[in-house]
Amino acid sequence: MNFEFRQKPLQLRSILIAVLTGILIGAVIVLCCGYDPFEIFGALLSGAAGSARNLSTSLRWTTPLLFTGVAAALSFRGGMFNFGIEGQLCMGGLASTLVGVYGAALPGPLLILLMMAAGMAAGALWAVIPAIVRVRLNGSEIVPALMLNYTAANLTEYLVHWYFLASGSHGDTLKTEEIAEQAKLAKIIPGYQITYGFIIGLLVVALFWFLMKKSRLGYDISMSGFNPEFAHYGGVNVDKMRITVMLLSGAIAGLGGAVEVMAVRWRYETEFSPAYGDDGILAALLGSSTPLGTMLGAFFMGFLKAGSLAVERYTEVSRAFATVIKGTVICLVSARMLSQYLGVDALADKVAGRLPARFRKDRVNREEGTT
Amino acid sequence: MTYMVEMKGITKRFPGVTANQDVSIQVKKGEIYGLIGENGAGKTTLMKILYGMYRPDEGEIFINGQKVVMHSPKDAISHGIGMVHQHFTLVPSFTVTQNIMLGRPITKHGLLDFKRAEREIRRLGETYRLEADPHMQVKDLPVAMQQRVEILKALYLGADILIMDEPTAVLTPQEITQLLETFHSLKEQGKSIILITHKLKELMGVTDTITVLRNGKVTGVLDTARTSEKEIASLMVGKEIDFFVQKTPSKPKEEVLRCEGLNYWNRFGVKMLDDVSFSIRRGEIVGIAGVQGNGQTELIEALAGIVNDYTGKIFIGDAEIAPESTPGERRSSGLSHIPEDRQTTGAALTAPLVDNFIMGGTRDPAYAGKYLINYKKAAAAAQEQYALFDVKLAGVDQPAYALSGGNLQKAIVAREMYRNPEVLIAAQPSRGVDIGATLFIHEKLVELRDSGKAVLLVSGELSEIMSLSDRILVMYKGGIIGETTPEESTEEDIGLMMLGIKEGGTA
Repeated sequence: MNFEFRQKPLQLRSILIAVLTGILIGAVIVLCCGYDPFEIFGALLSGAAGSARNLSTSLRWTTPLLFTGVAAALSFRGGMFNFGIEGQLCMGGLASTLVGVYGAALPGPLLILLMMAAGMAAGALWAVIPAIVRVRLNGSEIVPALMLNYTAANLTEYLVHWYFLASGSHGDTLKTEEIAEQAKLAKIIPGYQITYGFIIGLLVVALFWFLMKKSRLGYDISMSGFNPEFAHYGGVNVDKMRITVMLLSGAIAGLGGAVEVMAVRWRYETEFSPAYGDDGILAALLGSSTPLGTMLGAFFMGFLKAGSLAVERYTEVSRAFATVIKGTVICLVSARMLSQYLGVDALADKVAGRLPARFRKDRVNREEGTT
Repeated sequence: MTYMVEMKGITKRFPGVTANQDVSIQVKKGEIYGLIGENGAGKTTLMKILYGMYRPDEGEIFINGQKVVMHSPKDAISHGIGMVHQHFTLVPSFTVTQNIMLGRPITKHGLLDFKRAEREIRRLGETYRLEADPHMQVKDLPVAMQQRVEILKALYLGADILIMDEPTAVLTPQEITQLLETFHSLKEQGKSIILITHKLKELMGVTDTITVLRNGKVTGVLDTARTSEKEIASLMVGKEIDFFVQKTPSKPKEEVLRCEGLNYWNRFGVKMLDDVSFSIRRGEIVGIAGVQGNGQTELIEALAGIVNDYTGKIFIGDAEIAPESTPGERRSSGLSHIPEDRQTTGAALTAPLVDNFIMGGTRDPAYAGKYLINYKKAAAAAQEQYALFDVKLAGVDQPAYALSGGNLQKAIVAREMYRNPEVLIAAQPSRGVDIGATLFIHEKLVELRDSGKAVLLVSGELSEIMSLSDRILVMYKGGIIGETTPEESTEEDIGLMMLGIKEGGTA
C-alpha cells in the first residue's frame, strides 16, 4: 500500500518557519502601507513583554487560551475536530456566572468549585451534541460544532437580555450582575492583571500531559485518533472514546469560561470571547497538539494579542494587523511542506549530514514500507 | 544495440538509507524482464524512478537510446511506460470504458465519445487477447478481470513498456497461468514487460532475463534459461536457504474454537458468509484456502468481532461468544489476530512502535495497572519481544512507518504472540513479506502450534497453506466447499476447488 500522500507530521522546524514567514509577510504589508515595520514590531514587542506590567497583561490574555488550547489539542488527539470551543466557552461562562450570582450566600472556596463545575457541565453538554452527530448519526462533528458557536453566542445574549440583565442597565449593554465578591480569583501580585486563573490553566496543561503520557484512557484516546480501525481491532471502544474526548474537551472549554468570569470579567457580558476558541485551536495547531507545544502556542497567541493591543494604542496601525499575522501563520502552518519548498529541509539535512554520527538522530527511510 | 529501456548507474538516497546504489538494467524490445529481491531491496524504488515518481540522485535513463529526464508519471506515460500497481487504481463504480478513458478521454464536440473508446478497447482486447466487456462496472468484476482492465488502461495510454508490480499476489493458480499467457502474447507483439515478484517459480517460467537486487545493489543479472531457483534465492538472501518450514505431524488435542452456522450479509446486502461451521483443536494449524473475496475476510472479521451483525454461534474454549461482544472481550478470552492488512488495521503507522506494541494489551500486568500505563516497562517488554522476533528497528520510540513491510509484519506477529493466545487467527501472515521473513513467521506459527495452541491460517498463497496447514478448508462463495489435508490433495486439486469446479472431502 502506498502512503506517500499521507500528511507529514508537523516538525518544530516547519512551525518556526511558518511563524517567521508570517511575521515577515506582516512586515511587508506594514511597509506597503507606508509605516516603519521596525517601529510597529518594536511596539508589538514592548507591548507584549516590555515591562512587568505588560508581561502580566500578556499572561492575562494567555490564560483563557491555555484552556481552549488544551480543549482543542485533546479533541485533535482523539481524532475529533472540536471547532465548537468558542460556544462551549460561552455556555460555561454564563452557567458559572449564574452560580456565582445566585450562590452569593456560599463560602468562597465552595462557590468557586461550584462555579467551575457548572462551567464544565455546560461546556460538556454543548460539546456532546456534535459528538452524538458523529458517533450515532454518522455525520461530521465539525459542522454542528461550528454552528453551535452561533447558537451559544445568541442564546446566551437572549438569556441575559430577558432573564439575567443587571439591574440599572436598560439594554445599553447586555450584562449580568457581578458574581459574589468571595468568588473573584485573587491577583497573584497586587496591581498586576495576572490572577490565580493562570495557575489553574497551567494545572490543566499538566493534567493533559498526565492523561496522554501516563494513563490508559489517554492511550485509548490517542490510538482512536491515530488509526480508529487499528484501535477497534485492538479492543478499544472507539465510539466511546470519541464521546469521551468531546465531553472532556467541552468541559475544559467551559472551565476556561468559568475562569475568565472569576478572574477578569466578574460577570457574563456580550462579546464575552474575543475569539478565544479560534486562538486556542491555533495554539494547538502550532503545538502539534502536544501538551508542551500547545502551552507554548497559547503563550505565543496571548503575547501577540497583548502586543497588538499596544500597537493600536501607541501607533497608527490598527490591531487588525495582528489578525493579519495570525491568519498568515495559520495558512503557513497548514502548508506543512513549506520548509521543504523554501529549501530549509535540504539545508538542515546537509547540516545534519556534517555532524558526527553520534549527534544525529537515526532517521529511517519511510519509503521502505511502501512495497 | 539500443535497448528499449536502459537505466544506468541509478543511485537514490533517502535520509539515512540508500535505496538504490549504482543500479543498471537493460531491457530489450519484446523481452520479459524479471526484477526480484527481498522487501526493502529497492525494486519498487527503482521502478518508481522509471515511472517518474521519484527522481534519481545519480544516473541516467534511456528510452530507445534517447536520454530522458522524467518529472512525473505523465512524462513516463508519454515515453510509452505503463505501470500496473500492486493495489489497483480503478474507480469501482465506473464501467470498464470509463475507467480506461479516464487518463486520456476521447471527445467529440467537447463531449465524451464512448462509442469510439469502446471500439478502441475491443481492438486492444483482440490484439493482445485481453477481452473485457466495456460495459461492466469494475466493482462487479473478479480481481483477475480488474487486473486485465489495469493492463488495458496502460496499453490504451500507449505503453510499450509495462511495469507489473507483484501481479500474481491476488490470483489463483489457474488465473496466474492465464496471466502468464497474456504476457507471452504481449511479448509477441513487441511489448517489453518488467515483472516485479517474490515468486521464483513464475519468474522461472516466464522471464527471459532476471536481475536480482539486495540492499539496493544488483547482485546478479541472470539468463533465465541458464539459472536455477536455488541460485536466485541465494543471490537474494546472500546465503543458501530452505524454502519450507520443517514440522512434525500434528498432535491435536481438545477443541478450542468452534463456529456454528455463521451467516453474514455485508452492507450492500450481499451474502458473504453462508452457513459456515467448523472447529479447531489445540495443537493444529487449520488453513483456509480460497480466492480472495470468497468470504475469508468476513469470516475473520466475524470471529475477531470486528463486525458484530452476523448470525450464528462462536465458542472459544467452552464459552460462547455473543455476536455483540467486542474485539477487546474476545481478546481477553484468548483470541489473537494478525490482520490481513497490516498498514490499515494492524498498525498505527504514525504512532511510536511502543504504542503499537501495547495495543490489545493495555491491561497487561507486566506494564499496566488499572488506570495507568508504565511506558518505560512497556518499552522494555516491546524491545525484548521485538528482538526475539528479529524485528530490525532503530528504537521503540520510532514511528511504525519507519519499519519496512516485512519488519512491520514481524512486529505485528511478535505483538500478537506476546499476548500468549489460545487461538491465533493469522490472516495473510506473509503477504508482501520476503522469503527470509516468511520462513521465520512460519516457524513461529509452528512453534505456537507445538506449544498446544491453535492457529487459523487464512492465506491466498496456496503454497503457504500447503506447507503449514494440518487440515485445509476451502472457501467458495462464502461457504466451506471442502475439507482436505496437504497429503490428500495437490495444489491443482485445491485450485479447482477454490474455483468451485471440484468439490472435495467432507464438505
